[in-house]
Amino acid sequence: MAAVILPEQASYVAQGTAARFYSRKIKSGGRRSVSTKAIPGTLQEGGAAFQTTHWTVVFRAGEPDSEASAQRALSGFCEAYWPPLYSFLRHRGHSSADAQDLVQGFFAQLLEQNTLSRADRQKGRLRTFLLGSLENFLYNEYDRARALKRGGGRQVLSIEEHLPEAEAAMLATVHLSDAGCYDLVWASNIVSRAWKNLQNEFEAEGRAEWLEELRPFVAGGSAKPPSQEEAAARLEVPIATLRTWLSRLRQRFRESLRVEVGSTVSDPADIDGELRHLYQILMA
Amino acid sequence: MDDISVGLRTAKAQSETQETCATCGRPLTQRGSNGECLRCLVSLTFLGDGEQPERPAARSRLTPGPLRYAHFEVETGADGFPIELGAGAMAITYRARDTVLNSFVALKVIDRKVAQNPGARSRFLREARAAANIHHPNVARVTYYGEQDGECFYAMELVEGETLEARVRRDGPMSLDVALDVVEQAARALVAAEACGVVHRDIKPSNVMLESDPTGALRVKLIDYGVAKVMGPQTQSSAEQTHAGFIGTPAFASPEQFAGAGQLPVDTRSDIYSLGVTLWYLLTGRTPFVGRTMEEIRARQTTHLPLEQLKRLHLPGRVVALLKSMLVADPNHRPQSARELLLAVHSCSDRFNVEARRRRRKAIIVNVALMLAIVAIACGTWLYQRLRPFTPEERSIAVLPFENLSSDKENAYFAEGVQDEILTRLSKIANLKVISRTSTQHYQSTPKNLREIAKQLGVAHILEGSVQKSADTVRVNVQLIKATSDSHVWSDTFDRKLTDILSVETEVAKTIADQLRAKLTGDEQQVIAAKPTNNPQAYDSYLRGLAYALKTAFTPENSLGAQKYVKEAVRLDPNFALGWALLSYVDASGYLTQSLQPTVALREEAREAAETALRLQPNLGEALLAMGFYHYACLKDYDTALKYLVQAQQVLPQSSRVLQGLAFIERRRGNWDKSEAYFQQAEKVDPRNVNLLSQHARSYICLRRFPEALAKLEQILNINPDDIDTIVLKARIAQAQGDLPRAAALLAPLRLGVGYVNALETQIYQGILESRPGPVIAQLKEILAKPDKTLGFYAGELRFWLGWAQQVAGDHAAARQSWSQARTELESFLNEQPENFFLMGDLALTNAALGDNNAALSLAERAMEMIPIEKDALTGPRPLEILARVAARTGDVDRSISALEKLLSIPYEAPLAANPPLTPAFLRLDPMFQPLRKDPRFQKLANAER
Repeated sequence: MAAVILPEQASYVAQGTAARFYSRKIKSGGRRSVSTKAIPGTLQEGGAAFQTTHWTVVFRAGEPDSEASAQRALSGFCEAYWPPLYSFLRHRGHSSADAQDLVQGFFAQLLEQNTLSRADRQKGRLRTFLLGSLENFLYNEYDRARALKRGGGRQVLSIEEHLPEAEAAMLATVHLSDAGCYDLVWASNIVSRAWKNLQNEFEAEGRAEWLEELRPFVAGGSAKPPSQEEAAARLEVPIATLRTWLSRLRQRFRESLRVEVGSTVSDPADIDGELRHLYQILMA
Repeated sequence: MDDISVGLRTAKAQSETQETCATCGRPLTQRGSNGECLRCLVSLTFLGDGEQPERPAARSRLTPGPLRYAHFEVETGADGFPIELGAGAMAITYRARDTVLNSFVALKVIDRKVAQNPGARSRFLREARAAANIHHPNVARVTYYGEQDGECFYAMELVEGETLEARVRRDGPMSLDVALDVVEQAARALVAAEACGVVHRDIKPSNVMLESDPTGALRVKLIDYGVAKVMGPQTQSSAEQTHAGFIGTPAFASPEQFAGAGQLPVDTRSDIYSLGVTLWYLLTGRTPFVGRTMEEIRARQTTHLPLEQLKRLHLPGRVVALLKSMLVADPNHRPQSARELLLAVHSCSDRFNVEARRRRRKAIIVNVALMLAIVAIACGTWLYQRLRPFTPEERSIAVLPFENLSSDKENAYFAEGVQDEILTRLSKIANLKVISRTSTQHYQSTPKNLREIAKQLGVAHILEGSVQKSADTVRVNVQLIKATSDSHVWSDTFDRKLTDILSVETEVAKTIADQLRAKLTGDEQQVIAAKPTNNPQAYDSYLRGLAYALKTAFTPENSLGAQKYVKEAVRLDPNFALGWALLSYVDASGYLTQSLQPTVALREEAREAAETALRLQPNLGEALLAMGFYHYACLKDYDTALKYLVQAQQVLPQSSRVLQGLAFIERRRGNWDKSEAYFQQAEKVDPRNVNLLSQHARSYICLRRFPEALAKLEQILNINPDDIDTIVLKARIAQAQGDLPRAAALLAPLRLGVGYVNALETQIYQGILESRPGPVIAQLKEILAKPDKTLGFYAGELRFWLGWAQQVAGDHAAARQSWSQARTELESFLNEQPENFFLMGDLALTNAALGDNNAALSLAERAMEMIPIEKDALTGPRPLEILARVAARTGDVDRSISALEKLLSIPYEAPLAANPPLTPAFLRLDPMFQPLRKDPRFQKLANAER
């Protein structure tokens, strides 16, 4: 059975692509293997290894046959995107307990296939998709009790670790609109995660200390960075070598950030635009 | 216009000094888990090695207000911020006005950071010079270069159109003939640039604009010539520069650009490659090479061209061959010059056209038939449009501020006055929805985004106008525009003698009513045509006064200015009823907001003026409003005020001032539902009046309808993102809900200070509720150390707060001392202001704190007698809350609890900083109720779930 997307259902679609979304017809069955279908002109084409992006998690969530793997992927996914959603709700005026329950309920809903087949998710950005879906969710299930029921006590992630940070994020966003708060927490979350991933990689390579030495030159911070000469002396390398290292480190971070951002867009061609957007949000 | 701290809005709180990043100098508000500066990190994506992240000074665009570069004035939007045409990591392009030639330009301002690179300026100048030499219809010309305060900027021809990127995003891929036309024109631009020895280096859909020339044909303009070279990584000398710090969109860059500085020459052939990618994008809506990293893009460029993307387009072989030749990785195998490219493109479109011709011939026949049908439908539609009645939605209009075209800037008052008079006349037509001035005054006279503005205001039509006054003649031009189609419904120019200005206002109002098919009743005809005075000088003086009276803030300067000119107007024509009404209104609002000295004489003048106006014209809406407002503002006689306002509403059905007044009065009378309905009505005609929205939110707060209040406050923040009042109200709601962390987060960025009383009190109360009074004690001591006469009895109140905070901190001796001092100060004021029940409340609490129970109770009771709840539902219950607090302190548990029971059952505005009324959360958190905590009746109240 074919269904036409109604504007209100596709309300998460941001800006320019809206017109195309509204008019596109989709299958409401939604269980086709859209997730693994190669998108021409992207990495998935021409034998490149299929990469699990966070978009794929969203696609797959609706497929009952992949319940176990979807659950695993979903928990990583939820952990990654919990803070901006939680901050958004807090910013909107929900109490901490309500906001926690609502996010939980929202994630639980993402697992349900019906909601997922509503929209064509072959294109778009996870950032706008999640916010739009959350707003729809709030519209439909504003009531905390229903959200709780939906969550069904299913603890997809432990939030204790993230709670203080997400609460602190509100400090920095009181001057913004709700959506502005969401965007800012989203942006800082992505950048922060890109850095953390890089840290983990270096740790795995046994170069954690080395990274710590170079960190102030690349990642800023409140402490005044030492001079490059000092750092070079401490690492016992010529200054030129230090500069080469710094250059490589910066490059690796750029790649790490691209990968992280790439994980949130369905079409790699959107990466640059999304990166610029994150940049603008953080710099505003 | 209500009595809540209108005069205190002036001072702006500022952010507290925060920790900053040692590298980029920005506040460290966005940090990673180990204190990394996320702004530094994200900047790496757009910076080359060795470049520092921008420091905040580099961006001035976050501050509203006019920006000026040489003789270019950056245009500002309705929000007061500069209008940005585009912004990248390195430069911002503004829409600006050349104040010498009075024309518009695109002004590109390069970030300080780039400009400060050694040698960058001379390089930039050199490039700008070269670009300025390209004279070609397909290139947006550089017309000016300048430097100012360490920033470089240049002016470029302003192209009124959209970028290719925007076009494709909006409409999807282009048809082949349009795409080829675009590329052919772009190729012509490359030919011209090549002749001047300039390479663009950043050709991509967002750097190519499309506009329509006068014949309606598409014209392509390349923008930003000469920028990329200066801003790109080539400017750095370090040999380490590989693909780091790539500027622009990698997807459109040529392989030689990826190769890095000096390794391969970047010349016109590089631009040809980028144009090839652009053509691909135009035809398919995507770029041929994508990848998650630049390395991947680069690798893909050298492997194969994904021709399968083109398959379903069924492109002619020549076009595919053209694309292939432009996108060869080795520059030596591409067209070697722009001219060669042009020939190739040209032959392609020729070829294509020959093939297409046959198809087109067939299409023409179909088209002609179609055209005939369309013409028939259009005629029918037009006839129908002319004859059918307008819906209520269509009979709606907003009058934007009129432009003052007089050579004398001093004549601005005249343009404002004429606009307001036309608006006022329109608002007297019941059948027409007219947006109030308060909601339109911040817009520009001739804005670009009419449709958006109409949407914000909820109207179908917009009236724009300009006024030119010289000596004793006036020219008024008005344009009535239908917002949905941005089309003119009617426009006209009136050249009149100054003495005849009133007839223009009447004529304009009548024509608009006619155009919008709003039926006028006989009364309305008369009201609109009425001539308020026959004395042109008096009218001129009235308009001057009106301009002052219409200013948003009630400052002494505005009130005195208005008073002076309106008085002059009624002196010149003592029968000028409208003038008398305005004088009364100015006086009464000055009395209420204390922007004029609130003397008995002033109050009397307000009364006499209103009475005179009514005597002269008993049915004048403005006179009825003035009389009602006088009773409200000066006498607090709400019943009489209501009587007059209801009459005024009959004559001025669209006046938000009348509706707002009615809402205020019904609120005072305890008719919260009626008040709510008036608020809703007022917001329909005045949707962007922040004061109105804020008062409406306060009503919701009084009613403890917090989610609705928060939604209203959000509406205000959408108009005024930094409105401190609103942020403070949000914090107070959080306090009332017992959500102290959220309140703290909202309050944290506001600096403590006496300049902003609402914020200060809320912050002190927060410290007390959180049992963390340390910081506020220090701050209060600092404030009180500097005697400030302007604080009046408020200094005494602050001392009371200080004592309370000290008590919470456990420093009882200091608390006593503060309270004693507070009592002395407050008592001295009470002698002068024996009716001030705010003051009485403060003094009652202070006495209770000092243990003088009798004095405290008698003061609270006196205040209650003075302002019974039945007389004033809004602030009337305040003394009862004082009593509840005093009784809790003195140990009179029963009395306190019965007062609390009453208070929790009614809406009201609370006396202390907690303007929200008492809630169970307040009972639980406020230490003043400590003595009651063991009582089960109190526990029941405090634990009632809201």
